[in-house]
Amino acid sequence: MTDNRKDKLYEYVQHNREEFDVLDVDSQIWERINKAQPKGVKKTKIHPILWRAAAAVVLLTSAWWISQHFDVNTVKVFSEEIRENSINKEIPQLQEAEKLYGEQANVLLSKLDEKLSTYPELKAELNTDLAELDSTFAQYKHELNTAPSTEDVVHAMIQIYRMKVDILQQLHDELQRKERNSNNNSGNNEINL
Amino acid sequence: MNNTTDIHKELIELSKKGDKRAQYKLYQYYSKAMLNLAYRMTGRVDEAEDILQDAFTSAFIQLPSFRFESSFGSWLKRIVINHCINMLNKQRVNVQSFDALSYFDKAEDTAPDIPDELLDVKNIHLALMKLPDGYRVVFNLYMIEGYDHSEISQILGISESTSKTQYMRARNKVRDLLLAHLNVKAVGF
Repeated sequence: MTDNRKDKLYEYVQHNREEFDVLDVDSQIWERINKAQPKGVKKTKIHPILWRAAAAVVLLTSAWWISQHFDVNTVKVFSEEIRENSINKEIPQLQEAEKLYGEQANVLLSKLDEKLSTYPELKAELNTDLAELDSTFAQYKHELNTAPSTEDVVHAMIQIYRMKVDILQQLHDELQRKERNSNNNSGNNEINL
Repeated sequence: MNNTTDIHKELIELSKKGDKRAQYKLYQYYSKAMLNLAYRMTGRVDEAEDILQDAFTSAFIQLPSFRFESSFGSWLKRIVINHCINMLNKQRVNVQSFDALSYFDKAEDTAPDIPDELLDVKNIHLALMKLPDGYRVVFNLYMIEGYDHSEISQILGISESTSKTQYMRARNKVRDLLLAHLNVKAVGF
């Protein structure tokens, strides 16, 4: 088959390319786009540096809460909805990430459950942060079939998994350190910062 | 990287941080082209407007994953096209799916020349909009958007030869429609 890009029709169309844009944009569409944007979009959570920064922020917040409060309850690492939908059979990397980081997160979660038993505010704060990550993850998942580069979106989704594990790990380590210090200093179970 | 890309890079970086003014600026730059792309792909104004809205919403969500490996315009265009294909596949169940186009793989087509007097933007556009969905999509991607058959095959999930065949058939159909229009004019309609 010959390359018809050199034919008269193709040349004519390319020469007059802009004239084929016959519609003008309704000004109301931008308003609808503005309203449709999820709140999470405003935050640049997926940049590698910011993931670390966000994790650090959570850690600092956590440390502060530890010094102020205590109580127990279950921290949901991955929301039910995300967990149900998170294994995408068509994307092996996501399956792998779900398995690897999901397991790590669940182990940390069970450990934190015990440690957070007297930190209700900290638990709530952590749940809020994790829910926000879930929301971002869900947005990316929703965009997978329209993304120009699935690889980029999958990469961002996997980073969210990692960030969750990082947050839990750092919180766990911090709690453990405080407990050790507290035990060493007073032989008392109470944590004083 | 050219100057235009540099200018957009700043806007894109601001948009990634949720800067509404930067996002609106990007929207102003690209919305008309993307609306018209969606219109040519779907053949309907209302659907094109819905796609424009959905595609920009998607783009702002996905923007943090944009790594400047292509121009922003190309990246955004792929989002619009993907939304169009999703909509065509979802809403028009009686329309021949893009996968089914491989049935025509073996077809041999020719591309007769189109006389100069038939070359007119308005008439070509009208002919394009009268094409069946499958033809119109391939014809538009190749003739107006400038993708090659290899790229079209990837976008639509069809073989390269199917893309070529569909394009040839679409092109011949456009020629027939232009000729018919000329004949109508000649008899005074």
